[in-house]
Amino acid sequence: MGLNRALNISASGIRAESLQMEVIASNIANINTTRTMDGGPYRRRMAVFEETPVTFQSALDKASAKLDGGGVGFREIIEDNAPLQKVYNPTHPDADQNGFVSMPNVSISKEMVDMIYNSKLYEANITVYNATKQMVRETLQLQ
Amino acid sequence: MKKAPEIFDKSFNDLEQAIKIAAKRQAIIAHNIANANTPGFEAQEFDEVLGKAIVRQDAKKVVLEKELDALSQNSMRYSSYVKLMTSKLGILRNIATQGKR
Repeated sequence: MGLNRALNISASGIRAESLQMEVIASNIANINTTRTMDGGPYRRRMAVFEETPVTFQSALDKASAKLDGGGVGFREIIEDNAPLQKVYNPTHPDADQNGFVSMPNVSISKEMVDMIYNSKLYEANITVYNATKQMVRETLQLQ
Repeated sequence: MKKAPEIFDKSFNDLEQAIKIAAKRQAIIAHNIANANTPGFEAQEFDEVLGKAIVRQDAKKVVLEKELDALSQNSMRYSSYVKLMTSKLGILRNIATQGKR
């Protein structure tokens, strides 16, 4: 049934937005991290999503004519290659010979804007989910 | 002489078809909103002539307001179809049960 698929798609959207929220939380939490497990300062992370086709057949159709899909899927987390911020702080243990520290390339204002946008998208997915749920309920009351 | 209407006339099939299309459109709207953050994703819409989803031509990027507008329109349309079906079934039920009185 089309409505069940709509519910699954909205659920995949909700999952995607909550994953995106985790990434933003990680970026904000690590805004001052100068030492990571890979060495060097923390770099801003970004989640990349991809459209998931619903079946093999629709994957084939999609390749030819772009057809209806089955929601959104997570592809990978990538690191932002933007240059690190150099901050003058000679007393910092990670300062170089000139007294500059490489700080993460995370901008708090950008993360906040992304966060608000994401929470709106999360809400939008829930709105669709609820609307579809209401439609299913109405269909079940059809008599 | 006027022909008496059939009990299960063509409008039943039409309503059923309309409900199916609205359900399909709902899935497309859900897909567009779920992919609002997907790089390179192109918004889709239901083409009634072709009977399948196509890439929306006027605005390829997902616009949240547009999708939510389509969502509320589609939900309302869907419930009106279901209500029509219910009232048609009610008429039939009336006809079927009046005989015993």
